[in-house]
Amino acid sequence: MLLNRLRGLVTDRVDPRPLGVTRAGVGAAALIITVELGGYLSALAAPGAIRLPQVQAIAAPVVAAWPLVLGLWAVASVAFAIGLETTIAGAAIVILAVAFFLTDSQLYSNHLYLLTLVVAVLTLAGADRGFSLDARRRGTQELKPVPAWGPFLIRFQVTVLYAFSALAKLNGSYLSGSVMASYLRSDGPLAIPESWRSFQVMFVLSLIRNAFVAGLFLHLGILVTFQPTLPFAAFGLLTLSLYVPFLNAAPASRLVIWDGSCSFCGSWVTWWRRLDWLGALRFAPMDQPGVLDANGISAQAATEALHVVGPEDTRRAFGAVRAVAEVLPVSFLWAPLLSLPPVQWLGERAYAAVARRRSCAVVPGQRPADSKASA
Amino acid sequence: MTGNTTTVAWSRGRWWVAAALAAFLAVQVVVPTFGLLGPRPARFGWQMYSIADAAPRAWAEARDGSLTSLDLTGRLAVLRADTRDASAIGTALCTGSPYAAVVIQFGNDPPERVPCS
Repeated sequence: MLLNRLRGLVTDRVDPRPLGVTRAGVGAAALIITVELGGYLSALAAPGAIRLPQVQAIAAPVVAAWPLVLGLWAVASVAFAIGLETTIAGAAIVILAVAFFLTDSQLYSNHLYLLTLVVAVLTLAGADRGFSLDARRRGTQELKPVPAWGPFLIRFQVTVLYAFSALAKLNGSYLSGSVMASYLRSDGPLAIPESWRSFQVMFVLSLIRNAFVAGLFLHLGILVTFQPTLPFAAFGLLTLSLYVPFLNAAPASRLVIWDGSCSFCGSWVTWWRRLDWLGALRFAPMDQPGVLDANGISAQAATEALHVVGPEDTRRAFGAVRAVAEVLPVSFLWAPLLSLPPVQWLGERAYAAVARRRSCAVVPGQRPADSKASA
Repeated sequence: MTGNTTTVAWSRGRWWVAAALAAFLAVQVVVPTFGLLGPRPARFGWQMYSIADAAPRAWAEARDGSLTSLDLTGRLAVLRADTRDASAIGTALCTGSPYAAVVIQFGNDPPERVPCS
């Protein structure tokens, strides 16, 4: 069974866009890390600094020409983020990261190590094939799929990261709260008061109902309350970007049925199209022949509310908005919050209020330009 | 591409991909597992922020055996417990100093004494 699974990872081909979106986030994280690396390299180059070179032949030129090396890193990071000459940029990031590790023992960090691994995986797995300038420049209508092992390795990496991070924290010191207290922010407007620094148990795992939301709050919470800021920002962005391959958003897997005569709805559809970087959504105006019958939706229901037909169910009104948010890379992390009772209650009422008034927004004789169904 | 998953034919060359994949997965588990067996934090073990006071500390040992705390800020680029290179740090701190030895401690590890010769 394991062999069959392994064989499937090698032979299966999947949509490239989740890897592309992940690549963009990872590249942005690499750019943030530039600032951190710059501080460390300038400190190493300063007179009197203690150096711990791993390979002297690499350490000497890297420290001597660190602004140039760092400039290359920044350029490669930007190129990787936007998907321009992605393979070269990815290779450059990996080579430079390895050079940093060999330059000095002090340049190691867990997020630089994580970045190196995921950039290598993304580069080898063809993350340039979706959501990239490279793909746009090729001008192919059909996206070239990527091997299934790419997204799998990213998911595996995140799982390993959290699992071992948790295992390492199973010690008396950490569970007492003293470790976290020692990293809490002590200055600035977000400083944690001294009286709050002696708390004991922080996490109640049974309350964590959704891993995306938990991860988002974990990293945002760390960013807001812990110091130093920059490494935590880089680590948070890097790790949250790696969540995208966990997202269950198969291409064209959700059909959005909307009132094509409503310009207000058309504006929303236009924005959703722009943000649907994974291509998970299809759009069909309710007056498209056969679309309502094929999906078991009455004309009256379609007039009253937006519908999203997904692989598991059909959601309407505010639930449909939530279904869309769950597959957009900009919102999937917090979309589960929309199902919390108070948020859902507010959302449903807000949706109903807007839906009652939306006919006012219809411009007679004018239809939104993108009201044609698309796949 | 509008489908979900497509499959390409298995070929002899894909064994190498499968073998590399299996090896990578094994390394990803084995390396951090070994890291759990040694002092923390261990490199490549995803053990970030698992101990308090992770910054390395150093003391100068005078000829009479008395210890004076040394400030490593400004000497080390980063204060990381997993640096664990007492010999190199000690040698650098000893250079040009009147100390008999330098004592260095990384995280919760036992202190290490580096004689200044």
